[in-house]
Amino acid sequence: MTWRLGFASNDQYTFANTVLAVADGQLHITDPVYGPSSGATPGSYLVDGRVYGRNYGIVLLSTVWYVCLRTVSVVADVRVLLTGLWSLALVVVATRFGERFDRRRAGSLGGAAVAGSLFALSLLVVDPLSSWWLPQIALQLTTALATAAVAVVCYRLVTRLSNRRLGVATAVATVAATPIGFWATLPKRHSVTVMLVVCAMYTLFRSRDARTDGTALQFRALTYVWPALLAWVHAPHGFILLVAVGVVDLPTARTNGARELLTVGVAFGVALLPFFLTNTLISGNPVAPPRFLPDYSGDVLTADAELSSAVTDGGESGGGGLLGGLPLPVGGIVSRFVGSYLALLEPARLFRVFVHTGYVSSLRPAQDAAINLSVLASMPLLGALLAYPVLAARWLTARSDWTFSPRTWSPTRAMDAFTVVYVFLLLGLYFRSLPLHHMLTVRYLHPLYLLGVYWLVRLPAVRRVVAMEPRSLALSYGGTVLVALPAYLGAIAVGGLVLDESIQLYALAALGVAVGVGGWAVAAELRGRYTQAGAVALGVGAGAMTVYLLVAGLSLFPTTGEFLLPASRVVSEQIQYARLIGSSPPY
Amino acid sequence: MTRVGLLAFSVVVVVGAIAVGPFGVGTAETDTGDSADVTLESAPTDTLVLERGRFGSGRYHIDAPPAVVTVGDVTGTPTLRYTIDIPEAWLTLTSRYDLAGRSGRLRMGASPATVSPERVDQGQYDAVVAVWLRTGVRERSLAQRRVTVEPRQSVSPPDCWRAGRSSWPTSAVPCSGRCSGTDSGQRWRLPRSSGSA
Repeated sequence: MTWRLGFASNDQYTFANTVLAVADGQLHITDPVYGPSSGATPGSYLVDGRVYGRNYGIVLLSTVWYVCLRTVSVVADVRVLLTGLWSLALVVVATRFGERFDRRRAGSLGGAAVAGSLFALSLLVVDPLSSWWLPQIALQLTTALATAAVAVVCYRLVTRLSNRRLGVATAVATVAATPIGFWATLPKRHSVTVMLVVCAMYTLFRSRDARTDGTALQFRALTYVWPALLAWVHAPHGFILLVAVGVVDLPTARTNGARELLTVGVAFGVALLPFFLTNTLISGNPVAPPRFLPDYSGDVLTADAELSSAVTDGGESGGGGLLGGLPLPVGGIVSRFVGSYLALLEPARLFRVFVHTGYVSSLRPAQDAAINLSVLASMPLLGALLAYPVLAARWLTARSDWTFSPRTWSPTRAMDAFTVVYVFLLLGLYFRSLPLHHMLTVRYLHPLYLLGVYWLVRLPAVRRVVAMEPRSLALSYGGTVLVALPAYLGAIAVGGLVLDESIQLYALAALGVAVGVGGWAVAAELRGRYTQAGAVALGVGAGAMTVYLLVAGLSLFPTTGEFLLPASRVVSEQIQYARLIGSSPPY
Repeated sequence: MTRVGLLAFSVVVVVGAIAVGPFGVGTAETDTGDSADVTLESAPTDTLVLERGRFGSGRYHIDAPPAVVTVGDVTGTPTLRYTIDIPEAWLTLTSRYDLAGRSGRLRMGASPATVSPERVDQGQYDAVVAVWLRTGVRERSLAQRRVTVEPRQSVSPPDCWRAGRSSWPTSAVPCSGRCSGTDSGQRWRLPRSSGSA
């Protein structure tokens, strides 16, 4: 729905340029089509006079899509094709939904009718798609599919952890009630990061849960593949995922025999090959990923060929010594983590990042737009985590035997440990830089929302609500969306709100919802009752975020007014009165 | 039955995609010269307000009436731009409107761009309001006016509560979201000394 065509942040120019470069058979950018003509966009790096992009794991996969789309576009319109695929997916979902309730025929007919009319309507309002957007669409296809995979893996994981109904609720909540839906079609690393983290969680669980040792070992080896692939996309993220997996896996595995460790090591090594290969081709050093290379500042790809060759020579002589034995900046990494953990002790900063961001006066004047939400406002359902201190207190008082033997942990316990370790490392990696501009939903901590969903599912009170009150939950969710969506749009229109104001209005409302959810969760865990109230609280919490996802996607953030789905463009144009779009940004 | 349905649907999708594609219908649009009759009916002449964002959003935006024009005889793809330029606040607002397929009255709203409070350090700014018509590669101005812009702080509900005024929202007078320093006699305070000339 909110698949918009546009460059929301400027390193996306780099990705699109890199896709074009890779499609031409080279890793470095020679002819930047997107962004400034110098090609100096964030995320581009200079090595030996050549300009490289980053996140090659995403870029290479997207290039496959790009080549496919480019071929198709010779004879057909890509927009119509993708709209059709989207409608087809709608039919399939409706059919499956019908099967679940033993109304297969009604489901498939209803789905086909809705999807068919949507597609027909789209054909009426469609305009031909410029091939200019194809690299961007290819990148978005990768991240959107990654998000779909997140929903599927969440469903499978929770179905195995508990039951199918909770699995469905989790999948829906992951996409519709967290910022994971927000970043689905924004071609940055976040969707793919979350996908690889949830895959690691799933295989880790399967390796503990497996009946035979053989299956356990297969899944265990697979668990180490994901960090390796993630390193290919974003090396620091891959590193912390590897540490989290290792810290939890090694003490809790069935055995740590030579055969097991060798298998795991081989799987990890093989999965790291693309990472090594790309790094070697770029920097000549297999363990120096693009992020540790010098930034490109825009003096090589200027129009003047002679000038650029002169600069190239300079770059080579200057860069050679640095890259010869480029050490990983170990000191910098350690001080980064230490700084982050020290920063966690600052109450004001904690409040800004987790509770309410608002206007941050410490940002630079060009970057201080109050368009960022706090963690809690990005996912009001997280308020329910307030119940964990209650559970912890009860657990501490009830427990008499203090033994620590990870070997006997249940699969679920191992998962809990993994989520805690991973979030601790994630905070270490990024907390020092927060609050920062252009975070929108504190995107640096993005995987936190996935783990937040997991922690919600682990709350007994939440499980009770989903098991006992599914109907009330669905009703309160649907009702919230139906009421709050026009209310929010109306407030923006009547109040003549600008972008910052609209977002901060939502942030305040979401904070209230989160407090409500938290209050319910604490009361429910203390008393063990209030499932009806819980259905209302969780429904409103999820619905609030869905409303924000829809309004942000269709009205607040479209930069060009172009959408992949023609119907979305029509809807978006109808809510232009929100005073937020229809006028180009003042560049 | 479902499989046949899905197959039929897929066929429709493929046919539709090809029909809209490069070999299909409606791609033979030729480029004609741009032209339009545009009459300016109204554009802001009085003092404009640079208003501080509500709900704790901090940055300032222009609260300006729209520029209203009447459009007729449009050929090609001319565009209109409504600009408000406030150089001393590092702020240029541009809103752009495509005229293709339009006729009659057009209300052009000011761009909702915002500026940091760090850049708003004067009690008053000079600004130029202009409406531009672009046809082909030419752009000419339909109007250019010099106006004054005054910053004004509006108070959002949390600020009201912090200030100890419990009257919100029953009494709309002090804290309706628009209460300003200038109206109640207390002039806009300079947050810090002005560095620019």
